[in-house]
Amino acid sequence: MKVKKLFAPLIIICLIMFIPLLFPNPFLMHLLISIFLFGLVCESWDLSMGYLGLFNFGHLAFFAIGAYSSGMLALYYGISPWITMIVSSIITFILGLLISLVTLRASEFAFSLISFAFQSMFMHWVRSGGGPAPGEFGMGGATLTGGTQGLGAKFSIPPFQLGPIIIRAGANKIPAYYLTAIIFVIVTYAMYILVNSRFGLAAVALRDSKTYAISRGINPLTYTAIFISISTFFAGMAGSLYAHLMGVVGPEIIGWSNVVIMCCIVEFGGLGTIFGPAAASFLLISLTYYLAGLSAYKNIIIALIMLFTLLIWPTGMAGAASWFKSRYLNRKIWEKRRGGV
Amino acid sequence: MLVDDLSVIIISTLVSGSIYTLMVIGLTMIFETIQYFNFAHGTYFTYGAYFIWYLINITKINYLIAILLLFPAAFILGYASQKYIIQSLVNREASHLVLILATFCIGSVIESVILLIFGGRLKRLPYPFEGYIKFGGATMSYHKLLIFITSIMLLVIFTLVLYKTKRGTAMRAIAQEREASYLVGIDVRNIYAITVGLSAVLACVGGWLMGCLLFMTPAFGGDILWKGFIVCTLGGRKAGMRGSVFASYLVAFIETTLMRYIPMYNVPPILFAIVIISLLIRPEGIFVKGSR
Repeated sequence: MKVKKLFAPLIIICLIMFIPLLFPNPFLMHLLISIFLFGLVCESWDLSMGYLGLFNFGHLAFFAIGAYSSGMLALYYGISPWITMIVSSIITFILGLLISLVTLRASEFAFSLISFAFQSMFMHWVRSGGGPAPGEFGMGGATLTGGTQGLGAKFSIPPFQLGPIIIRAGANKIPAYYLTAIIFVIVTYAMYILVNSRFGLAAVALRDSKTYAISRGINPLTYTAIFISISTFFAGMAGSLYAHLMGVVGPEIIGWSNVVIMCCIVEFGGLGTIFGPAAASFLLISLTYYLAGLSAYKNIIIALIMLFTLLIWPTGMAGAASWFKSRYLNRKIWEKRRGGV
Repeated sequence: MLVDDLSVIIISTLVSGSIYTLMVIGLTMIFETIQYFNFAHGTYFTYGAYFIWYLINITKINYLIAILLLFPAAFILGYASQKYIIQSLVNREASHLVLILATFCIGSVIESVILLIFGGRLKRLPYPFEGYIKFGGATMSYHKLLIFITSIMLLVIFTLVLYKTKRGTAMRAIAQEREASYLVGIDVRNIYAITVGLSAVLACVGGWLMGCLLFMTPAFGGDILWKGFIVCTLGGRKAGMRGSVFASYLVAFIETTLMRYIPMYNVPPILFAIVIISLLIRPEGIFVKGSR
């Protein structure tokens, strides 16, 4: 039984690992890299949105904070990207803990509102530049965040280096692909363990029946805050990966349209299922790549997909899969059992 | 010097505080009756501003008639979005997360449609009244005076609607006791839609007033929305009408004072930090009577 359960994930992992050998197409590689990156963001958003039922609007702001802090540390102070990745993830962890602890004392609504305000505030700050850049980087009035042009527009953010190999999405895509794919697989597995542990079950219990969960000794504030900060931790990690792979981080990564796309992926994949958003990111990010020329129509299409998912099939793709399974695949088992009796 | 600063600060506090009031009253009213926060409220602002711009610049209608037309247009937008989209989720007893996501979708659809029709260029509405008055050391244009007077007038009308009409009484009844108001025969769905419609009217008027003052882009409503949310959390979501008004003028005062003395890019983070600190001290909001 256990071996059978391992079968499907192993096939998927093998597929992910062999794709660059089978189809070394640069466009496909780039698409898959962004799918993995944004898939990470969506999965971690699902931790707070699906498992806790709280709308953390500022999730992409944490993604951006990961990207900007990691990029700034590496660019301005010359720290190795491997270290800045860890540092920026910890920064986002602490920020997420702070915001959720403070606002959840008031109410869930305060958390949604303040996270929205946090997102807008951060975007405002990034757009306005946030002061002069340190040292020789500040020549010619360059700003700390690079303003609307983005961080790394003038001097690009240093890439990951593994011995002689420089890992960058623009130049050599195959190492970049493997790096993102490995991190994607590991983080997805870590989240899977997390949500199936006592901790994840406690979060689900808090979502479904708060009073009962509290009566069984689950502290709502601590559990929720730590769960949210874990999700922001992964978002920050994805952000720093994005910064070092792409070399440029612009304020448009936390723009309204990007938020809508990510939110749509989580909703369309199915709230409260780690694999749903991961699968939906494959579908919808490729869709947005093909719709990229349509700019404003793209946003409308994505938002309408999300609205119709909410109205017609609220459980999303994961819900559809489980419905299909119970309707068609398990039916035979059920009938066989019935015939036996 | 100080007197000059003070008069400038007072004028801009009155202006932006009035705009925030128009937004926050609608937000808290929707929250009190239907129990969700409307993330599409910022785009109602944008909608109002672009509606007036379209009528004035494309169809060349008289300014006054355009403003009169704004009221039904805004009401229809809010009414329809509640009645045909969100109500079907409320019927299913969806969680507040789903409601928020739906309003968020509606907001982004409206914003993208505006972007599609009008493009992303900066636009500006003409002032309805030209000219200014001297006020201490500073000058105050008639438009800023109009913003203040309009918001106060709308507030008064709104209070009258809430306390003197039958529908307003029904709204307050639903806010207090939803099940009981079903029992006494209030058409709750209709009242919900009217609530959202009225708050959309407030937001659209705010958008028109703001569009004359600032350059407008399809995204400019979102900028005011987050200030509105900050006001809601600072004042407390159960602060009621009076508390929300006080809170919006307070936030406007803090913001304009900071704007005067420190670099502009540092103002939003500091404002945010102030709200976080106030939440640490009083999680239920500073204008809520009777703590915990």
